Amino acid sequence: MWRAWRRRDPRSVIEVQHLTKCYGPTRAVDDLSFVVRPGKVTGFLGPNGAGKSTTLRLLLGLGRPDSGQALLFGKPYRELRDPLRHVGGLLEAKSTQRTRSAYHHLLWLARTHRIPEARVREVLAMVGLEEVAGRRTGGFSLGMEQRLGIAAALLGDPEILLLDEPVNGLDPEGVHWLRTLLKERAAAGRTVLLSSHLMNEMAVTADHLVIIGRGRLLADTSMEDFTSQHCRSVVRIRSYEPQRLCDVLRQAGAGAEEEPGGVLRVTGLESREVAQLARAHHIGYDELAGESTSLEEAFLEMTARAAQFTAGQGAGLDGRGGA
Amino acid sequence: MTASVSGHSSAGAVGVPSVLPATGAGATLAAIHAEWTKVRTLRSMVAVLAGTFVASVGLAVLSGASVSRALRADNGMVRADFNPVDSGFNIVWYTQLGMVAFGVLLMSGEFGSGMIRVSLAAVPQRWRLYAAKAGVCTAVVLPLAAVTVVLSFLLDQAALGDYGAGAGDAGVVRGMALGTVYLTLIALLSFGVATAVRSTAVALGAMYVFLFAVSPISQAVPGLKEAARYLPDKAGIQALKVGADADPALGPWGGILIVVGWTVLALVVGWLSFRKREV
Repeated sequence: MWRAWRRRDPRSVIEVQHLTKCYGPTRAVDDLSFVVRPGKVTGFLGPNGAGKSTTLRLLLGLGRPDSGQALLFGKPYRELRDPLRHVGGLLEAKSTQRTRSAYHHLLWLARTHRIPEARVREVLAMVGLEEVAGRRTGGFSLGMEQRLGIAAALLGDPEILLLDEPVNGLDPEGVHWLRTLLKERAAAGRTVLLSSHLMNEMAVTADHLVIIGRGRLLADTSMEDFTSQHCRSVVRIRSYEPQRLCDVLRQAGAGAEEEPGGVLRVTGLESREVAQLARAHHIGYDELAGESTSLEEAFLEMTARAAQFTAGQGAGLDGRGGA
Repeated sequence: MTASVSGHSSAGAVGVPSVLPATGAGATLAAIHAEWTKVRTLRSMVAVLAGTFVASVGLAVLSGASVSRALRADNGMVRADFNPVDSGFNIVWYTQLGMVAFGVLLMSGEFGSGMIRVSLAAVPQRWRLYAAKAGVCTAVVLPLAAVTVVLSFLLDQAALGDYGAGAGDAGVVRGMALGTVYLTLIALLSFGVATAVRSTAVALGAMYVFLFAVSPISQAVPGLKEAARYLPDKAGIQALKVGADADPALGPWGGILIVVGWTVLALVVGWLSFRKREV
């Protein structure tokens, strides 16, 4: 009853509140809270097994949370009337009976909401499947299955799209098409939440990031903030005395790791500063290159840290960084 | 009702869904329509139904013809207490094999393919999906069973020729009606079993092992014979009979009532399994 009284941000169409879901001893989703707002593409990012799919399944009412709740428009999915007109979900590629045609798959789905047959043809054209609409889905490639799943999600022209790894199996042209579609829908004020384990894909698609690892929230941030906070420069230097240079750099407060071939990977200093230090200590080098860490690296570092965090919980926790 | 389907006018409208929903009954009818669409657009379903009809009718003609030849030859191949009405309804035992397959596939196909997630996302109220499927199962099997039972009975009698019974003979119309009901119930029972076990192979295997082995064997074991009368297929098939195969203690109505009980039990077990099943 108290829920009726709690303050709700009216702009959060998806709310995940202290969501926990266990499978046996494994906490697939662990006290996860975040909101998703309309008008943006929100990337739901995490490594395999982080709990993304479980969270999306709970949002779609396909499983029951052990505690907490997953709400759409302030309600559990099951309480939505005509859900397909409000929420379009794509869970995994294979979700059709193999001997039914793509057209008939969408047709029965349309029947559940009295959506006219013309809309079935419309979404088939949107995803580029009209020519194979009469073919059985058993012969579909992963990419075609994925397009059919996206067509199913679009069928009711919903305000919310929940897509689990939608770019899996899509060809580059398909990825580009989907990206454009999602951005257009977000620009029109709709809500898009798509999961991925690929940061680089998110970097070009998402405006906002919700990053999870081991079922826990790691970051809930705009793409811009994530980029500015986590993109540090990395300098690679190949010197004749890598061990000595390493000590020098560390004394200067930089991070330095040895890589094969006498190469040091230096963080925390600009390439100019690294060169100055080497010269000051008379350490010769024959190659120096500065680059900024990719978002992918930042993401990997973050999830690796989460994995250690969880693994170290029993043995006393020091919150040290990855690697 | 369809205004928001293709238009983007609702874009940006955020908050509690504003589209006025179909009423609860409307949503249930829509779910039934969708389930019917699933059945008619899947070749295996149509093939099972058509195959059941063709095989039953063909079997009726063959059986009638061969029995009539054996009777004419008086070679002792036909049991002494032969009754043409019972012979006509023996076909129902074979017809049920197809109806069982249909009831199983109706649900197990969804679990096997992962389509159950799409179905439940579209119809999140589980009772509504379960009821729509059970309703379509009934609506498809009942008329098909009626046509199959009546036609196979009449063709069997026609093939028996002089040895055959007439449609007006005692117990014939009742047997046709109860045979139709029995086939519908056994399809629903299989649907309930399939919902509980969620696998085509396991459900179909269990049903066929029961019909081909468990039931006949327990019938033959002296200690079990008394209990075997109450098995769904025994109680149901004997309800159609008028001759020596009939079970006077149960009678036709008692027999079919036992099948109703088994079916309700299977549907309840299926529902309890489905109600909170994670998919």
